[in-house]
Amino acid sequence: MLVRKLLLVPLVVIIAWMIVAFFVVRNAHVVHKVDELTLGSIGEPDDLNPIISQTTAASEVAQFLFNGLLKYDQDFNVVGDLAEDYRITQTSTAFFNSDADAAAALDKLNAAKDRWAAMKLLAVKQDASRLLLQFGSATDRVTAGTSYEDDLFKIVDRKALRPVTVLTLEFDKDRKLPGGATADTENVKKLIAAVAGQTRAASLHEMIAVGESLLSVSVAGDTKAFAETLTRSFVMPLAQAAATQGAASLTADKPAETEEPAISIMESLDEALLNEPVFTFKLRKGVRWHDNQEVTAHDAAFTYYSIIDPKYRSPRASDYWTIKSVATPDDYTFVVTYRVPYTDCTSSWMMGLIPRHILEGKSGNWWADHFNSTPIGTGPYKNVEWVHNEYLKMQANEDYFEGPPNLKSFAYRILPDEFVNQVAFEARGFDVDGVRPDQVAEYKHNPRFRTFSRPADAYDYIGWNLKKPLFQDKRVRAALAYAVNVDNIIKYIYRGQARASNGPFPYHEWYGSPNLPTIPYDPEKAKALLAEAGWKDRDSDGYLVKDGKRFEFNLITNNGNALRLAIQVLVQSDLKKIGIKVNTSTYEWAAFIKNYINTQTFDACVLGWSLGKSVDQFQLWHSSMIKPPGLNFCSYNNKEVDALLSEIRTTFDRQKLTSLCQRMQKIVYDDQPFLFLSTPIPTTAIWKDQYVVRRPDGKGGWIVGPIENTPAGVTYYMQWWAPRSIAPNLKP
Amino acid sequence: MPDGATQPAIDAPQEPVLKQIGFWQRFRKNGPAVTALVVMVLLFVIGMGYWALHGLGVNWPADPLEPNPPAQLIAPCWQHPLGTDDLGRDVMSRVLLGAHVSLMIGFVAVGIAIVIGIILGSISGYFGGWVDMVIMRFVDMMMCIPTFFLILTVAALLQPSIWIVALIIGVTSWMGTARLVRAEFLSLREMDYVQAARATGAGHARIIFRHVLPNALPPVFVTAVLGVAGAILTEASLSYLGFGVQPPDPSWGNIISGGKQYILDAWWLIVFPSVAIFITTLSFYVAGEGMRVAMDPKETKQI
Amino acid sequence: MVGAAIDRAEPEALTPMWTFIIRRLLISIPLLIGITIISFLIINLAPGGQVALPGMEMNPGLNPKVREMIAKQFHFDRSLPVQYVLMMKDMVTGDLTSFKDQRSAIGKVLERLPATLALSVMAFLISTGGSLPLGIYASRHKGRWRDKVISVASFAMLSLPSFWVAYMLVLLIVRVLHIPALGLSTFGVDFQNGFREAVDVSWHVFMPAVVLALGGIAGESRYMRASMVEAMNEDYIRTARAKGLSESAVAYKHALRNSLRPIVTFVGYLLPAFLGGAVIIEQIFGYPGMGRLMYQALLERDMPVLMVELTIGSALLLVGNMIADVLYAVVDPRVRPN
Repeated sequence: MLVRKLLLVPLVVIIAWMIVAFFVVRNAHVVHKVDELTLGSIGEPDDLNPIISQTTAASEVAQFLFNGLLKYDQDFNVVGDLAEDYRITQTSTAFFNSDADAAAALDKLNAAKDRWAAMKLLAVKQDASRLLLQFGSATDRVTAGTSYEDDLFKIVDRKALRPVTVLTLEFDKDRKLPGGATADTENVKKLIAAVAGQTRAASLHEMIAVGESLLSVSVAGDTKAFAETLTRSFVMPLAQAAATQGAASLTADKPAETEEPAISIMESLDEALLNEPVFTFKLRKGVRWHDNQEVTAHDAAFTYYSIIDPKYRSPRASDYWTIKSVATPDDYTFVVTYRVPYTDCTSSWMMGLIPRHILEGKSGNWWADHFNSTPIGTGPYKNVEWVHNEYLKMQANEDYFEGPPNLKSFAYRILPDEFVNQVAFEARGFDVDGVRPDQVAEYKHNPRFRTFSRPADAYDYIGWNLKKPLFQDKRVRAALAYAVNVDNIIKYIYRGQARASNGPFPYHEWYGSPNLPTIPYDPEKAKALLAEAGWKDRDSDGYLVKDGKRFEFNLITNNGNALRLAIQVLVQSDLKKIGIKVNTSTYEWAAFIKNYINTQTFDACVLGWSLGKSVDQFQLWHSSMIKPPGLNFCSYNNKEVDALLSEIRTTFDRQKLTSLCQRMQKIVYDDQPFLFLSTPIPTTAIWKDQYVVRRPDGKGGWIVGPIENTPAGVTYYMQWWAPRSIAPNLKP
Repeated sequence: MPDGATQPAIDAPQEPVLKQIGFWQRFRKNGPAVTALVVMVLLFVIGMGYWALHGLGVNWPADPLEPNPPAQLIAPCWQHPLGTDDLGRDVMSRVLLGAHVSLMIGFVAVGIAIVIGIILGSISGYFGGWVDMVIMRFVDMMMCIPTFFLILTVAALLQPSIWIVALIIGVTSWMGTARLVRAEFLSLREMDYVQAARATGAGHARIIFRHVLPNALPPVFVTAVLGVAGAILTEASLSYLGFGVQPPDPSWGNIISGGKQYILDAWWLIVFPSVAIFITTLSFYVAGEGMRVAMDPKETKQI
Repeated sequence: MVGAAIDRAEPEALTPMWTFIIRRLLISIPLLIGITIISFLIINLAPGGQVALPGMEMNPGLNPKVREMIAKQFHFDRSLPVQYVLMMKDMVTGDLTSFKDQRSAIGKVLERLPATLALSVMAFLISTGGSLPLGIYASRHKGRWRDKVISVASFAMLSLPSFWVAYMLVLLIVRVLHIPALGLSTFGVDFQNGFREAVDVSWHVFMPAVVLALGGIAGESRYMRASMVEAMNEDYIRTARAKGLSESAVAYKHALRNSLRPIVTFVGYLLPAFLGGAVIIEQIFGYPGMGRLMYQALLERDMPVLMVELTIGSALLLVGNMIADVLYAVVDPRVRPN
């Protein structure tokens, strides 16, 4: 019957078409283009604007599109990128009680001119009761920090100096100051000047607005008295006003927060002298944006102003708060003056520059619509074609200032999950892949691939909430460290692709402490320590008890991270063996941070820190960072560590830094605020025999060699990868 | 169906089933359905039984929650019939313990959906007029939001536990029941015996609960059995995406979710829980369909 | 909504069919508004809902100013009802931007719409093409073993977790047969002509569509079977039989035509299932559709995109249902107004 047959027609057509499609696709010649580099990623970049983007994927792509003023070389030394050269010098101001004292000190210094070179002092000038000291050196690029002080105080009597403090004040524009004026920069400055007038013992040196709601104030003399007066004059009048007039004098929409003053002291830095490092960049001439405009110092200045402009919401603005001013004396010179010495200031200039001629005066939305997904940069690749959720593709920039890239295009594929990612990599869907720990062994033995491993600047830990009485006893925390079998975690969860961590600084960095031992697995010792602290199994139910309370806590982590979930389970099982009951739960990341971490209501959490190449861990450990949303959410509070942290971030000398970091490592290690678990050693796999490296030698020639691991990772020279065919005789 | 949102046709108008004479006789003749019913009951007994034993500290073949890292990712063998997972936990024990999670979610979710559906459906069908209008517009609205989108959104925003997942599935899947009950009420309320009850001055509640509802229940029961299967699948999908029941509670979905990264090396982590889901939902579907057929006079009528 | 809209009297001004369509449209508007209100409430009332602002967690360095600006841009500083109205306005004008990349949320969703529609249409074609013969065949052997086998088999398709099927398919195609099936087209291939490229794209739509269609085939064939069984019990079939026509003639000539009508409305059941299933299937196949965007928005807590996804998804269902109703009215004169 006809109808009967017709009914089958659609099905037959569909099946037939599928068969045709199957063969067409199978026979399609998938060209592994020899002149294209392809990366694969599970995450998609959020946007490609280097000052706004937040994802790892974005920075992976952005390195092909943008250049910063500086970069790391393959050994993690800071070298120029868009800047041909850079220097850091320093202007320090010494405050004296009188002009005569200053003059006397100047005489002493002039008399000891032979010792200037040792402390890298170049010139001294007197300005009334102050001495301006110019530091710098013809041989060293970096002359900054406080390391000259020891030498200086051998010449000048320290007691003749008035100490100086740099305060960072935060004020809230929506609140009223005592007296009813709005808390804007001008009024706050006036108020502080008035306060300074009342304090005889201290004198106000300088006030610098940092962004719209921050003020940096430097004060010489009895700075403690000044800070106290300052706090009193903000808080007291406000409290009085609230008491006498009720809510009338307060802004209408925030009645609940009346106790908080409109101004608060965020940070205070005590120094012998006011040290202001000056960063001078000499830009390369003739470097061009992808649209052929020349890159100048004005672009660098524009990049800085955009980052600190809240309008553009840069998540990196805080890295630039210590800057006092920037200047562009000419088109190729960019000068940055800092308020205080800051060790990490070099790394903040590795941020990609963005073009002023395109972006100036445009709104954030304009950026989002026009620039952030198809940016104009300076990098080796350009002309981004972005098919969302599928891939990004870009073409070689033949005019790249270091020379044209060897591969004509670069593609960044976005893959949905790890399984598909792996399947696609093994089908040569892309060239470089991060390998999961459990597959490293397999890839290592696979003749099709080469693998490279290098420890990451990161570690996983269990953070104990030190606000909870349970974890306040150091012996208890040490016992917990002895009770958890970290070796098992490394062996079975990381499959050996990690190393036990012994504190906040990674063991493999120059500032690490490789000789500090890690805490071994020793449940008996853990039990002994706990018994010493009063925790005993009194009712023989297997669980430890003290003061009628069982040792029980919640160990939380965020979901979606298989390694952390596994750690959670193993820790729970290990602690059960010594009589501690651990309850586990996992939360979605945003809720985890908002409801548990920022409120500091958790007991213990499994988390990790990714540190980067920074020695500055002020935000992680300083007691001032306990206040949410500070990152010291475990409430670690140690005065000695606080002092060390402040010193570390103002020291430039590597040797001194190393000893400071090692001292801090030891103190934190003894305190055990975290149970330090492990530093992962990630592995990268690449397809064998596909590419070689052909990179500029910096003198106009080229260096050709095999792909090799560098301290900065195997992908460091990725933008210079070239087809294997250019060097047929090269042995891999 | 990916999320179990499509249910087989049971909206076809039903004759009022006053007495289920011959229901069992007809059902018994349906071989697959009887088998499915037996499997269903067995699953229920095993799932709940294993859970109870686990609560008492009896575990077989191993403790489903206790990790044993050296024994990680062992392929199925005598000691671990279904292998072990990445932390060395026995997969068979985990699948068995997961049974109660999946079943409980299925039953609780459907229970919630049925209660809401019956209440709104009977109010709507019995009273008619603007009440009916309002309730049915609301049903229309809920039906227009893609169910799985809705479930996913709520599950992602809440902290999902077994009960919350059940609740979410329940409150997003009552609309079919409500419509069914309403349709039954619309046809039943004009029946002579209901009119008679009304004439004798019986109250609304009495008419609804004593006279109409009992006759509207059998088709609802069938929807419920089919709904359990849908809910179990939905839970599995949610857990697979990471928004369902959170570890350490093992549900079939999150056993799969935890094992999916090992799919190329440890197939047993994905296959066995999937088979458990498959058998369970299949038995519920087939048993439910068998019941529907046994209730439907048209199905048994000879051609 | 099928039944509700069609049994009312009709004012006579336009042609009846147009009036019907317009009335359906008018009913849809308040429905859509109601849906947006429900979605808005869900997103805002859930604990940890809207306030989880982008890039705000774990960034103490963020200028408090930025926090404020974002709150202002998304109207978090207003009361809920005002917030809702402003959000709807922004959504339509495109000012409602994604938390993630500050692109217009509605633009982000709409650019995925064609891919999702293609997937749904393909899945619909496959499932209808497969289920009609299957359903009819089952109904012709009602109650006998073939019917039972088909019944169990289609329930088996319904019971397979879709992610499992999808994984197996990807494994088979990509790993065993070494054929790409990810994304919307084969990556890194220069197709010589447009035809091959079209075939390539259709292949990439096929694979996920087949997985989606599995459940569709199961449901739709059961529906078709029930519809046939129903039709075979109608009076006119008895009349036809009484005339002495053969069973299959009765079935294919008379019953089939009438049983196809309710199948039209089945699109209303399939579409939500396809959209929901797409979240997982698109994720596994790396298919750039609305489902994958939805999943990413959930992971990133991109509330504006979530809101638009729910709205557009619902609007799709409304349109799908409307088309089904209109088609139903076209094929079945009994429900045609007039």
